[in-house]
Amino acid sequence: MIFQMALLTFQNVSKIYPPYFKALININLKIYKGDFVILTGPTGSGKTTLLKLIYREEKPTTGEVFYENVPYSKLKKKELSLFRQNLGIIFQDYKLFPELTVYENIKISLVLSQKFVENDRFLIYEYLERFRLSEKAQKKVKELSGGEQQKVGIIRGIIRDPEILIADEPTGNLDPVSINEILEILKDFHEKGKTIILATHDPIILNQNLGRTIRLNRGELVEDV
Amino acid sequence: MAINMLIFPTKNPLNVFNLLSEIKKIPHVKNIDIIYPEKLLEKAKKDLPSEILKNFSEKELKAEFPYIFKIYPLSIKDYPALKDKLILLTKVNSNIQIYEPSFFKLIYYAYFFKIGFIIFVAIWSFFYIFFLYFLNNILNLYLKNQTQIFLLLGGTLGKFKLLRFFFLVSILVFAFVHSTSLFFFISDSISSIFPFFKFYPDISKEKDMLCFGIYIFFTIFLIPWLIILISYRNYEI
Repeated sequence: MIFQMALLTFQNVSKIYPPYFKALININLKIYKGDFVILTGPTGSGKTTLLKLIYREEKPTTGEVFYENVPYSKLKKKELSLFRQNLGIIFQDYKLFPELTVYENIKISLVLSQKFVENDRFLIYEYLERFRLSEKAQKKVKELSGGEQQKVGIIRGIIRDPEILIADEPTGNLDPVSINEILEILKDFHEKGKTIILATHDPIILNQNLGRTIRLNRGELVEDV
Repeated sequence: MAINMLIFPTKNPLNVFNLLSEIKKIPHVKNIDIIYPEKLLEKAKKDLPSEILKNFSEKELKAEFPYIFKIYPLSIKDYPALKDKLILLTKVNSNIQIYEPSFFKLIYYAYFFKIGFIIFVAIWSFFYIFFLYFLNNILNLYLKNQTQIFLLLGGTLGKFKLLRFFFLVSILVFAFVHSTSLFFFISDSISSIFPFFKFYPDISKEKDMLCFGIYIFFTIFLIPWLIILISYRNYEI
């Protein structure tokens, strides 16, 4: 048996939001390189909090999260920034710059990833074409519909070709055709050996049996299959 | 602290210089600064009505202004003895006047103003720091979402902080230049009315300029930069 080091490790992690809301309770979890993890559970079960702990928008109240055995709490600002450059994050609330254009929002993600792309303009338009958004490239994000903004958020997450893709309810505002398109993209991504952590309770995705399913309920990890 | 002596020139200006050498001989004298009528006239010119300037020649006007001797005693202990000697001089020369506030009053006011100055500096510093912190926090709050997205995408705040610093410094430099010009303009106007008025900083004094430079460095560069660093602490994720 070959020993494989966990990419991400949760060790006795709890998260309590003041004054006493327990979002996560004593989570122990290991995520390996190349895993396709589906995080599921009812609304308020702690899926988003768990993802926020991964990209360090939140810190655990107790316990520790490790990236390749390095505790997050030991990461310096510069190291944390480098770690985030290797992440592709698709946020539930999109987190786009509303006053910037679609093109600019995606370009910023590419620039911040510090990855050299020979023809970034061509690459951005290729993705926009794939999501049928090329005509809206120069429109401000705030002028787009919810579904379109979600697509921009998805492009921004995947275009930087990250090592770990974290997606929080990426299909919430999309029609079934678009959901299937995104699933195809995620599968392609996974086939390239990338790690995907996807939080969802969308039945279309859950029925696909894409990989490891982790179920949360009221902040507790109840199933990991 | 100096005793100011006003000497109204007679027809023979040599008398003034004879008097100067007389005073220099007094053992309690450390140093004498002379303010010439020309300098006083120059300062007063802008406040004089144009009719006076037209009707009187410069020479005539100059004759109306005194020579001022600022006489510094060797020490505070020498002050009363020096004053007595100078009073004697005024008794034998009708064109001499001593202009000096009461000695003890001066000490009292100097003490009072020292405390007042310290309180003023403390209040001013408190408001200045509070204002800068408040301004930074307002900006941080306004840009909170954008800052956090930027950080989550792998950015760092180094350039943001620098940008904020240049933004603040440009405002502060503008405000500083504006208020300094106003201060010097007011000081200059006051000094033309009261020739003894001494304002800070004296550009001719190296120590004054050094202290002033340190003050500028702290208020315009160091304090704003530290406040930017502190104010960003709550917004970094």
